Parts: sequence; C-alpha cells; structure tokens
Amino acid sequence: MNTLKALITINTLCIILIGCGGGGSETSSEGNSKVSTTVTKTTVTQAPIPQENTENVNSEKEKLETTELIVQSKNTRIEDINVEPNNTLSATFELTVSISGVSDKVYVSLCDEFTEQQNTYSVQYDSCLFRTPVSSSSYSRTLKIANHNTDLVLAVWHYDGRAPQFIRWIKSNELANNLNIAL
Amino acid sequence: MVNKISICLAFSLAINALPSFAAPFEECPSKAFLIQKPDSITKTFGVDLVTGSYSTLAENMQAQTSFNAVGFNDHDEYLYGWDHATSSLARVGNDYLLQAITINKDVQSKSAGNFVAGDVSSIDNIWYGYRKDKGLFKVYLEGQNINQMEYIEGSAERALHNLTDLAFHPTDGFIYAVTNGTSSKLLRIDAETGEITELGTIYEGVKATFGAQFFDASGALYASNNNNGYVYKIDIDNVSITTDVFAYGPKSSLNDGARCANAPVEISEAIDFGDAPASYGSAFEDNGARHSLSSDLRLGSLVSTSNADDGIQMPTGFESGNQSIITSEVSGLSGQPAYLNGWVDWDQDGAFEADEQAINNLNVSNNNNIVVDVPAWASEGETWARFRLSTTENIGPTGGVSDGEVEDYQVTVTQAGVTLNYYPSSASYTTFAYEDLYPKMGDYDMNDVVMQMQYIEHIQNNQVIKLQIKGRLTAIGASYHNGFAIQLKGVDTTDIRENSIIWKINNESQTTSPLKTTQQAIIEFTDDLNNYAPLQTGCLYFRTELNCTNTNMTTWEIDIPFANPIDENNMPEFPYDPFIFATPGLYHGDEANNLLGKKPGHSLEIHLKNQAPTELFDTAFYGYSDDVSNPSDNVYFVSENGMGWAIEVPYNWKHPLAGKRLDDAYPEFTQFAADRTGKSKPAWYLNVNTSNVYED
Repeated sequence: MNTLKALITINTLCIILIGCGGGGSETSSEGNSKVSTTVTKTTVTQAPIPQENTENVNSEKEKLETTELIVQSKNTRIEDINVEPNNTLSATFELTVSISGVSDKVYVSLCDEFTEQQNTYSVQYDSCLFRTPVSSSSYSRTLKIANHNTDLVLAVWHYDGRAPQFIRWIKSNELANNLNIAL
Repeated sequence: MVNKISICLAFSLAINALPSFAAPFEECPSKAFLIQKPDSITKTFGVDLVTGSYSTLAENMQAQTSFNAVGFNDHDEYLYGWDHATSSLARVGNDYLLQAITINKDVQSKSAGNFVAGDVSSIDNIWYGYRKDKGLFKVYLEGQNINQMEYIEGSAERALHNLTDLAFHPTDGFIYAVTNGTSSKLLRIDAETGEITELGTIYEGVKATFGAQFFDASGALYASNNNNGYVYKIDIDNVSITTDVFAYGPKSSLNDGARCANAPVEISEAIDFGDAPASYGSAFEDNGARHSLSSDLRLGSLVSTSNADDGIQMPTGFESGNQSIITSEVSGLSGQPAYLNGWVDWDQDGAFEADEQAINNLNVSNNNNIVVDVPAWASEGETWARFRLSTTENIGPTGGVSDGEVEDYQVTVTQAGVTLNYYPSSASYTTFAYEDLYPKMGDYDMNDVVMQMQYIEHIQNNQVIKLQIKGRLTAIGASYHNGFAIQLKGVDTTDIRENSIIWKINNESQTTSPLKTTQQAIIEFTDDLNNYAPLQTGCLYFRTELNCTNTNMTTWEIDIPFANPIDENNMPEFPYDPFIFATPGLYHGDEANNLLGKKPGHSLEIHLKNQAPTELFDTAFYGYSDDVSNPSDNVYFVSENGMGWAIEVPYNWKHPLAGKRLDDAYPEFTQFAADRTGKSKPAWYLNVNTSNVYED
C-alpha cells in the first residue's frame, strides 16, 4: 500500500509568565494590570515520506513551531478592546492544495474526520472540505477553512485498482498554508 | 370466550384421559411452523415472518414418511396434519412428536389417498384436506362425529388444481390457496361445498411451489415458495401480481406450513431497518428493508439502528457516465458466504428499481473495494443509496431477511468533472449571529438572530455551475421581527436560472421564487423569521432561554443553478454576504423611526462587519447613532470600538443565552478580536463557559 507513513512527534513546552503585561495586542487598554502570558513551543517531526507519492509534501523533516506571545487578559470586556477597522473577525485561514503528476484520472478529497491505524487512514468522506475528480496533469485550489480545522487528510483514489494515497496536513503557524503533492 | 373455555376444558379432560399426549403449544403463537424434510428426517422450524429468520424447533418429529397438510388448531393449540405413513390424521403438541389419531373414513375418504394440502378451520374445530381430482374432505376434531372423515359432496369435480398447501382465513370462513407454477393464482374455496373461485394472478416468474401458506389476524395471506424461501404477502381483497418479497425465509424441497391465523405478524425481535425516506420502503408498514440481528454479521462494526452507518464509504464522487468506487467493511463473517447488494436511486423517483442495482450479490470479505458504474442517465442532485448485507443471496431492496444489516446513505450525483467545494465542510455548518438594535449597539448576547448555514459550490471547468445552500434557524432572541437573506456580490440576478431553482422549507417544496428583483442577486429566505420560530408556552424567545429547549428548527434547502456559470474568480468568497433586515411594516426601534420617519423594512439591513449593504439599504444609517461606517474605506456596520452587529463563527456554534454576553460565554473572544493578526485564540469559539450558552 502506497500510503504515507508519517510519524509526528509533538513536544510542547509551556512556560507561564505572570505579570509581564502588554504585548500581543497593540490596542489593549486599561484592565490589563494583571495578565498572564503563555509561550508555547511545539516541535513537529515527520518521518521520511515515500518518494513516489509525497515528495513535495512537508519536505522539512523537522519543523519548529512557536506561537506568538499570547496575552491572556482576565475580565477583558468587549467595551475594553478596540477592533481594527479592517479586522472582520473572520475565524478562517486559507489553504492552497496543489496536485501535480497526474497521469490517469484520480479522485481527491480533503477531509477533516479520519482515524489513523497501522499506517493507513480511515477517512469519513461525508466530512470533507472539497472533493473533485482530477484528470488534468495538475490541479490547484485555495480553500477557506475554519480556524479549528488544523488537522486534515488528503485522500487520493485511483480508478485502476492501485491503493489509495493519504497525505496528512497539520497547520503550522510558521509555514505557509500549502499542501503540495506530486503523484 | 365461554365456548372456548368449555372447549379447552373438554379437551384438557380428553388429554388427561390419554396420558401419553404432549401438552399444547402456547396460545396462538405468532411464529409460523414449517414442517420440512431435509435428509429424509421430518423437522419442525419456527419462522418469524417479519424477517424470515428461523430456528429449529424439533430435530426429528419421528414421522415414518411424511407429515403434511398441517394446520394450527386455535381451538386446542395443537397442530394437526396428515401422516402419510398411517394414511391418517396425527396431532402434535409441544414435544413435536406425532401422535396418531385413528379416524373413521367414509367411502370416498378411503380412496382419497394421502394429503399434502390441509388446514384446521378458524371457525369450526375441523381439519380440512384437499387433493386434486379427489376433492375436499374434513375430519371432525370434537363433538359426536369426532375423528369422522367425510367427503364434501361435489368437490371432486371442482378439485382441478394441484395444491401444496392452503390456509383458512381467520374470520370469513373461506379457505384460500395459491397455485404453483410460473403463473400462480389465488383461489378461494368454499369449505361447505368445495366450490373454487379464481381471484386472480398473484405471481408470475420462475416456477414456484407454494408449500407453506398462512394467514395473520388482519387477513393478510403469506405464501412461501419452497424453491427459494421467498415469502410473499398477499392482499386477498386487491389481488395483483406481487413482486415485492415480504421476507426471505428458508427454502426446502418439501415444505408445509401452519400458523395460528388469529396471531398478528408483528415485530418480536431486534431488527435493523433502513432509514431512507418512506417511499424507498424503510418502515415495517411499508415492507421496509429489515434484518434480524440474530447473528453478528454487520456492515462495519456498529448497527445502523443506532444511527451509525459505518460500513460503507464513498471515497469517490458519483459522476454520471463514470465509474465510482465504494468500499465496504464487513464484520462478523463466519464460514458461511455473505453477500452485498446495493442500489442507488439514479432517476430520483423515490424508489430502488431493478435497473438501479449498483452492486449485485457480491460475495464479500472483511474489506472490499467495489467499482460501480454510474449510468449516463443518472439525474444530477442528491439521492439515496441502500446497501444490504446478508448470508441470503439475491435479496431485493425491501423485505425482511434473517441476518446482516441495511445501511442507507444520501449521495450526490454530479455531471462528469464536477468539484464539490464545501463551506465550512460537508458535515458542519457555519453560524451567523446578529444583534438587531442597529444602529444602536446591543447587549452583545449575539442571539437576536442566529442562523446556521452550509454552502456547496458545484464547479466545472473553473466555473461555478450551481450553488447549494442549506440553512437552519438556530435562535431568535429579539423582540423586533427580522427577515434573512444572502447577497451574492458579483452575481447578477439574471445569471441565475430562476425557474430551475429548487428550494424547500422543512423539506416542503416552495413554489415562489426566493430571488429578489434586484440587479445583484439576493436570495431571501423569509421577510419574517418569527414565522418559522414556534414558541413554546412560557417562553419569550426561540432557543435562547434556559428551560426553553426546542429542537424544532426550521430548515431551508436552496439549489441555485446558474444560467451563466460564474467564473470562480468572480464568485464571492465564503461566507458570502448573509444579512438580516427589518420585517416590512413592523416597528424596528426609535432610531430607525426617527431617522426615516417610517417603519424601515428593507431599508434597515444588518450585515457582517465590512460587508456593504444591498441596493435596498438606506445609506442615511451611515454614521447615525452608534454606526461609524465609512463606505469610502469599505468599512461598514461598525461601531466606535470596531465591533460590528454580526459575527460569523465557522462552527456548529452554541450561542449565548438571553442576557449572557459573548465575552462571558466565550472568554477568549476579546483576545481574538483585539489581535489584528487573528493569531491570538484563533479557535476562541471552542473555549466555552457552558453555563452561559444555550444547549438542547
């Protein structure tokens, strides 16, 4: 089975700093006399990926992800903040999926409900962000995705009996939101 | 009742006089008795007609040759039938052993030979036997003529049909029988005269032998075909050719059936049903697809009665004229082969027809990848598929079967080459939450109107050819009345094939158009959401108060085909521009009245922050009261601190209770809102103070 064998190790280091104040929001106003700041350091390690189907996917074998300093302000009220005029409060991000090297028709689904077991995936195809046949040699689509949907699987099914391919994508704040696959 | 008790009493006395007789069966059992003779041993099986599931009741009835023409006698709760070894009647009690009865035959009876078709009358305590060319005979089972066998005068010349069983109607006193062959007729036999009336054809097809025939208490006749075990349910008052198999029972080369005609056929065991709409046959009343759960054989590992269809996956789309891949996972396989059958309602007529069978009797293993052909004539849109697993081969889309599982799925058929682009996903909704005091700032409970929405764009060759919208009214926590609509910026009303729009409210098709007569396309769900928010007694609002839970949410489904497909680059971004507006003719606050000098109606719209209003909006609201909109900078529906009157949460969001503030219900919201990068608490809507939000 030509499925992605991914090993992801996440080490999380949390340091809680009390009373630093400020940061995170340039528009924080009064009421922030006592704040806590959380620093989260996440290391994502990914095992080598079989070349034939995933050579362009997450090529970095090790990524360092550090969320930006977060100001946790207790009792901050809506009246206490100032929202930037162009901040529409959209809780979404964009992800660009690119597929190349398509020779025979495949069917591609990007889905958010799945289980991983014994190096393969069981995907819920009724919980997907997009689904498409791909017959041309390459395909690209930019999607708008809810902020909580940070762990997705791209499933590629062949019609000639070959085993399907699965590529897992986990959002990183450090990297651009791209999912590239060469079949 | 008195008669029956006295009869029972008399009979029990008679039984006591015969110490070797077994006890009677339970009173009028629901299960049918099947007497079969596999491997030359006469056995009794108990059959549940609902699913055809059966169990062995007796391994050996100790019949010397055959025991046939059996009927259940509801007068004494014994079986009576013809014992071929003794050429006489025999009785069977709950030990399932034949007890010979010595009968006195008249002249004709002596020359009648053995019987295979017979039953006990539901009216009189008499056994009747029928034989072709010999006629109809009866044996009294009580009274002064007890055990006397008599020929019914004139019946011989009427006995032209070769019958393998017959059954007494529970109330009308007639005998009914189904003939055998490739065209089977339903006959009605007068028990008094032997006169036979042909009521019509009930079966046409491969040669059938209906060796077991039963009635139920409602007067429905069931006939079991020995050759394949198929049980047909026959309406004797409306005779027509029956194609639907009622249940898939055991088959046998030699078969006879008996059943208490006064017992209803009803559900008495754990059964899995289909859950497609009624027209597909899902409920028992509609001969719905049903499986006895008596074995471990399952699609997936869960039973779909728990609403967990988990055995079938559709990893590719259904494109008309193309192949599609279906996977199935099977658990509980034993040494016996199991078969998968599948249907898709390609023409969307609400039924699974023979030419819509996509998977035909596939002998399955634990994991199966199946390629099916989507016909070129398959209609585009949402339809239903049914998958049935059983050790019984060749089952149809309806009827009962003794094991396995049925799973029904809603599937989408598209033209070839269509991308389905979902927002936020095909399994979730995004939430639009509004404060409706505009242009005055509200109390931030964000529940004056709460609508949830899912969008599906159908894209072909980089053009959006169709838009599907699914919505539901989630809450109304306002006193003002509001309408709801979605503006498609960049799409002209004329781009839409208006007469092909399909829209439903609560699954009811609508006849009017949801399109406004504006240049830019506006889809109006309603101009007064309150009409779709049924209030419970004692509740002021819809789904925003404690102790006012209400799961009765109105749903909208709108399919919008484009006459001029929209280039993807010109299609507005998700979540488009959903907005509420003041219900025309109704008061919507002093500010609007003071500004406009009238009730505002469509002039007052409330959009998500920085979404420009429609051409119906009155721009006098810009800068009025708490509004600080600045159209020249594309800033709309914003108050002094940058908050708007509406937010989108791309999630099946739990909105705050009435009077509970957004920042109390979701403490991380302010951090998210204050950070212009959007990176602080990006999923703020998952961290909820549950005491402040509405929950069903």
